[in-house]
Amino acid sequence: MRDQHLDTLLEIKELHTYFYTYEGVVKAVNSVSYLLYRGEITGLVGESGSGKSVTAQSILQLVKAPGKIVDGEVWLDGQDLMSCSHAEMQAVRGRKISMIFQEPRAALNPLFTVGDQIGRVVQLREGCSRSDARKHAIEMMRAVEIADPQRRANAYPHELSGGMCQRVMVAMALSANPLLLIADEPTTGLDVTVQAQVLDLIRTRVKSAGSACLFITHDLGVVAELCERVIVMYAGRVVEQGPVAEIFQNPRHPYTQGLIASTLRVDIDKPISTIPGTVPDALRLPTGCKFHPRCPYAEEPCQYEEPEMLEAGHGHTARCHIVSGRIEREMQEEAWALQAPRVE
Amino acid sequence: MKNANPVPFIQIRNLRKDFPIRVGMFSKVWLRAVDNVTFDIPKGTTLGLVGESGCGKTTAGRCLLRLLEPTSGEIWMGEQQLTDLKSEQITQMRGRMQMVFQDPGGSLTPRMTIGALLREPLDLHTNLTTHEKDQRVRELLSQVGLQPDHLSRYPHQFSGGQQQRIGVARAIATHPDFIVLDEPTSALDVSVRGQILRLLTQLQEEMGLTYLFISHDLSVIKHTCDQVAVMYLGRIVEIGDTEEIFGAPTHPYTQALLSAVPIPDPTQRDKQRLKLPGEVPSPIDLPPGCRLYSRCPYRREACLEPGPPLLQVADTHRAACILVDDGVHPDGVHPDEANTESATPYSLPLNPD
Repeated sequence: MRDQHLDTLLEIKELHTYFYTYEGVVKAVNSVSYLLYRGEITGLVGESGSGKSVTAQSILQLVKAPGKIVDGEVWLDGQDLMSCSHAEMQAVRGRKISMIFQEPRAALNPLFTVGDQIGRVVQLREGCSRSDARKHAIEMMRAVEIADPQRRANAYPHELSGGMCQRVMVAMALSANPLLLIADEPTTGLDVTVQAQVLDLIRTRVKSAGSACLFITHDLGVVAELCERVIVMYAGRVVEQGPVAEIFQNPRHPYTQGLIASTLRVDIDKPISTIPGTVPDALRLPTGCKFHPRCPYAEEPCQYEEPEMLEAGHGHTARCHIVSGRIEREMQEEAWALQAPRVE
Repeated sequence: MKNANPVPFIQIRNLRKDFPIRVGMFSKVWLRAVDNVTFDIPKGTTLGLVGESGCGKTTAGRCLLRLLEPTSGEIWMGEQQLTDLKSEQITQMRGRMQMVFQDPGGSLTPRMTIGALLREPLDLHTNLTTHEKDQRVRELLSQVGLQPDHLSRYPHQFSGGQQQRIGVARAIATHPDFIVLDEPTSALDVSVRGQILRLLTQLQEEMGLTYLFISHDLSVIKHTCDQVAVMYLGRIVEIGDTEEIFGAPTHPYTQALLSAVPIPDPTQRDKQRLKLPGEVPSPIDLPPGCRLYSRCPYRREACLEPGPPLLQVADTHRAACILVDDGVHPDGVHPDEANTESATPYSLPLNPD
């Protein structure tokens, strides 16, 4: 079923992460399974509240109370992360898996220079002296194209621009040569010209190190430019996944179609299409298919029966009754463009 | 020079805004956030002001409404010169010019119900009776696609998209002529963004509104604006009709900005791009010449001369680049012309200071 040459690095099976709030249980990640391959960048796409970031936190076991990983397996390179002790997990974090956060300024410690902070990662991993660690840190800063790394290593995070801080984060995350790099919206809040630089950097570093990358974003443009594979999440569930070319040319889930249709493009003139309604309240998810209240194709079975993830092409799966043939409707690209400007 | 038919409704002439920056206990330097900005917006149309963070687009927008005092320059709305008005007179004018803010949640008072939020502008700027105000508030809700039972709710009970609808309703409450939209959709999810953009376009048609649309997102600008002005470090570097700017960008900065926008189509992944090295320099103590000099692949000696002014590219298209006369390649991928005079562009030092 899967391509032979692909080398699985991370396997997530039936992951469930719930948040136990006063108002009820939020199923932030609900039965999520996917594979990440070595040397590939996988895009994890979804709107706010779809469970993208919680998936990443669950891999690292950094879910904070009242959140809890209820069930599921996470295998990294043959190691069962769910059965790891606290100390073993600590050894995984930052060495085998490292993470780039959305807000670089908030993720860096304001009291230490960036050179010290990168050096500390190196020191922890290699057990080398401080001066060696610093040399290595400057090397890393040069590798992420920070001009004048000798001087910039002595700068505190507030002295650097957002783009520069994000480079420091990338340097820090990659200095341990991790097997898996998780980037959680690393370019949100950066200007487009700087975003292009950071994306280039992540691409070249991941490719040259042969590691895997889980790239969390809400921007389909970034996915199209950077990723080999795409996972689309909606309301805590994976609704579609597959190779990037497949997903963009032949999206099978109506939500994926709607996302692609509502993404504005600078190169093409087209009417503004929208997905009607809003993301459902996580405490009161609809029955059946979680997307049916907003779906232009929805029919009766969609209301009470949740579809399974089904094969929709080579390495391409989707969670929709249209794929299973339960409901018979031809999906049309115009469906979204023709949507009346309905309001919630 | 200009087309005779579209009568400019908003006219900005040489707008300038300086902010003092303290550098020591007794000394300060001036940061020129908006530098000699001039543009017109015809009635009922939208001008997009686009640029990266720190380029002065929000400051310019706020100066237009005199939420900030411009250092110099003229702002005309119709026959009225706004810069001449005293602050009491400006307060009276506020009903005619409104603003929609970027952060929909943060711009709504959390302790006021939606009904109270929407009544406030009516209390301040109109002489309606209580009954008429009630009616107007209900009308506003249906205009922006909200339900009458939403009136007694508080802002936190709404989603981001609905909060922005409320922000729009508040802005149009007093039947303004002119609205500054400051990144109205950048905090919203993709699927909701389209709904707000449609609402804004629909209201513009119904009410004949004139918009200044401030955004860093070129794809949003392309789909909503009639004209676009591109700002870099306080100056407008290129201005013109939307089709002109997106179809034939002339200033190297516009070209780089456009080619950096990711395109949601994997087959276009390998398209050539004009990349700008380095980052936006500090806006304090800038040299008099072209602002892009430190990052421009086409730069040459003459770029260090003061200026350049906005040069005519086409009837409705001007760009502030001395290479306009020499015809910079519009695709922005052939900087070989510049190579004849200077060395390989990227080998030059990034910060000439």
